[in-house]
Amino acid sequence: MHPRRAIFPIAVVATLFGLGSYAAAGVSLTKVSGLVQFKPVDSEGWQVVRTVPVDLREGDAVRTALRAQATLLFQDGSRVELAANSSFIVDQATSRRSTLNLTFGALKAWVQHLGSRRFEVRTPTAVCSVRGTEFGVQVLPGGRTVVDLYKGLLGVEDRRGQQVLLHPNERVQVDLRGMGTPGALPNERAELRSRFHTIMQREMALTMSKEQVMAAAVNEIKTAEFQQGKSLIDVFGKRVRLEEYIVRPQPDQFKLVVLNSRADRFDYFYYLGTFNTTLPSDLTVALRQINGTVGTAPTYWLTAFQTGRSNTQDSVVEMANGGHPVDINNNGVASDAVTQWFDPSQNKYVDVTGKSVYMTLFDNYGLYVNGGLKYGWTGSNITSYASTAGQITLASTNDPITGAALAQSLPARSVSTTFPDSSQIHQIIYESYSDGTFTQWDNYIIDDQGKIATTADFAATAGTTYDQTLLKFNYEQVVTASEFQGRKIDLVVEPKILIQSGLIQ
Amino acid sequence: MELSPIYGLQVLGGQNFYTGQRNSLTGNASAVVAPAMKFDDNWSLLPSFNSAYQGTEQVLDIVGAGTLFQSQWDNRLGVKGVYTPDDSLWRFKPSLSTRYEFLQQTKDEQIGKGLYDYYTMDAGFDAEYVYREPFALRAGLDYYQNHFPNYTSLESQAATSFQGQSLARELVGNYVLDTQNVLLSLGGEGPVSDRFIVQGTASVLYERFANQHLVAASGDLTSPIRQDVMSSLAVSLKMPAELNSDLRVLGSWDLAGIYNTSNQNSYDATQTQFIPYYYNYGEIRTGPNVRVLVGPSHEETIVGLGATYWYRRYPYRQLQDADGAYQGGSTHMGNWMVQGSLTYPMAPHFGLVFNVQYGRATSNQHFEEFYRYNYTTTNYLFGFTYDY
Repeated sequence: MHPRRAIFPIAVVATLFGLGSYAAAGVSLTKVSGLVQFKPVDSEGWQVVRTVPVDLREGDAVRTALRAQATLLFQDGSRVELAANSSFIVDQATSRRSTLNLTFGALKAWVQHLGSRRFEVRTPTAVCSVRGTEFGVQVLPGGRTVVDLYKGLLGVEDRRGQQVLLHPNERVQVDLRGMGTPGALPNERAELRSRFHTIMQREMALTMSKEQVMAAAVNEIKTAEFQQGKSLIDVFGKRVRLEEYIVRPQPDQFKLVVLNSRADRFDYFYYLGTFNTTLPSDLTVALRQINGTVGTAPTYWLTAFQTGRSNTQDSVVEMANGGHPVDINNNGVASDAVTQWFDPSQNKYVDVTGKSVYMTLFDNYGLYVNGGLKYGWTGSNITSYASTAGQITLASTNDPITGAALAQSLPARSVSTTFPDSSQIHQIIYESYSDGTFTQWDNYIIDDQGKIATTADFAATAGTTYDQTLLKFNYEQVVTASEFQGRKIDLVVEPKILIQSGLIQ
Repeated sequence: MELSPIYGLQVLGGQNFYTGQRNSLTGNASAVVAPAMKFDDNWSLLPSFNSAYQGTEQVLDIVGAGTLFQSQWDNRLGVKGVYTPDDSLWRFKPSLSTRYEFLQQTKDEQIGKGLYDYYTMDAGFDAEYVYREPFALRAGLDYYQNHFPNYTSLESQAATSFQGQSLARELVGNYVLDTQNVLLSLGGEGPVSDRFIVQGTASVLYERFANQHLVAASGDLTSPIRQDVMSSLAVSLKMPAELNSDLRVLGSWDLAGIYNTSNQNSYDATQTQFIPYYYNYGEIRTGPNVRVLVGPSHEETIVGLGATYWYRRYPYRQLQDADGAYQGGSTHMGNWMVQGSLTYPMAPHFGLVFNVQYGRATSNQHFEEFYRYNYTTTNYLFGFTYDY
């Protein structure tokens, strides 16, 4: 049987000591505690030692498990105690020589001083030749050997032949580099404490390893939130939480809801569309036609819509009904003909000059601020919004949606559009009314870091390319009104929603 | 009763560079205190407290930045018992722990009021078979809950009606990120030939989102709740070499795989696009590491080099162009990172540390309005470490 090798096999150099004669010697396993196994030289498997004594022959191996111990007794009265988690092979067991090959772990030996008999303990890096001593040998991972001498004298030799004689209560370490310097034995209690400390450090490491799995799972949850764009920075540098979802109030309706939340406010926007027929489960089919179709009349069109903007206290609501598709490039009114049209299937603007373009026009429209009508119109089967067509009548005394009489006539409305900073895409639409009230719309184009887009970002763009560039940014709208009493509605939405719905032309 | 304290402290300062932009110099600090107690040959107790403050993002933290980050503060308190029966190779370890993570992501967000702050309460039990010290096989079972106290869905806050209509869907949940979890973990290590040690771990994590209902193809919510199962397997081949008592080398090659399955879908309202099994992904990660330790134990100079490559694929997440339009196909990402570290001893258990990392992320996903998939990042940290 080949001697069992440690993790780092090292060639062992044997030493010879002159020893006197000795009577026939044998070695037996005489005491076991815990799980002790031995493997006979002619066997492949390990056997649990259940009864003692067990006579050992050359080539037999013995090993102990955690917290186990085994005691060997030699015929000359020498005794070896094998510590827990240790293993050795009986290299030689004759009357003149006993050699144990300690492959890993530790042992302690009490060797009788008997003339010329030789007693050796070999490790991957050292050979200990003993004569009448009490000593311990430990093999550490990597083959490093620690030899402790308690009584007597002990010769230790490394692979290079360097030798040292240990005196009582001395320790020496031998490794691949060679012999260390002998020093005093450490306190046994300190050694036990050190081992316990090492075990506990390992327990800490195992605990942290499991914690990493748990933390990684939480990080995935947060990452998914970021990937879905649920957290942005607004133009004022504050976090904006963003949630957008679809609600289906009726079979022929859908409602897009956009919620914005900041540390100190909550704003929302919704778009409720009512169609001419029941909507399919896949809204994409219908919403592709929401802005109109080119060539043929749409299958799905809006008959009414409602938008709402609110900060939970104030609101701006638009309502429209009487929707019907109109070929605005062939309605007899040249001034409202379109040459560019947003194609949802291509997600971009396309040229539609000279083509039939069906868009939905609404007979009735009303804009309400805090529930009060500010502006609106009525009509009947309108084919053009153009003032030259003369088909719409501005609301003045009656609500354009409900038809109810107003408490007082609507004031006259005046609209101005300005860009306060010519280098930035910040538009102000100011609606003033003859009763002294106003509504102001601050429209910002912002990037995902909350910075206002500059004119340079839109340089050399116009028409189709301008709107195409617009799609790359976010849209923030701040609404103030005299009715809000200093408050505002502040919304961040994607422009595509507004372009598709026609709110941005 | 015998007391054997374990403690450590690390204080580092550093900077992070993200796609060439340099962030300000910030600091990281961590401390661990664990007064291990041995009552007798059978029973030991390991209470522990860990606290780690991070002001500088590590490369591995920046999973698609442009994500918000200011600082993070983790605190963990736990207790673990270790019971070893007489004459047995087994160790049994019940444990309890709680963890609180504070995450500050914007300048106006205060520590303690972070949107994604969360805490965990965990109870676990491990069994270990030490067939040959220090090699063992182990199995563990943990039940824990995660709670995000500052995060409720906006939809649940908007449930009130407007203009006579509800703005929220039925079945909307409030604490939608909270989970109840069961973690089964297996592990072990052992020598392979004379030169190598192999270490393996496997885990199955079941997550139940009790407040998060499934999204249907119509965009509505349905009765079933979200449930995820994350399976992972990792193998590490280690080659420790002790050339002499003052020169040790530890080389290793790591390989890991993860697969997450979820029954939850997603609905992109702005694109009216339904995405089934949105959270499913598979990932494989591998890379070598080497550490050279020069000098006596606890006073060694340590030089470390490592590289990691990981590939992740979301099989059901379609590609999007730069404007967000869906293109079909599936999203995948390939990231790699290299790092180097140096620890120089000033005294036993005390050393100066320098660490540098470089990472690069690439993806076939072009829609990066909310989340960056393609970027490079570098960070360095320097400071001191003390451990016992």
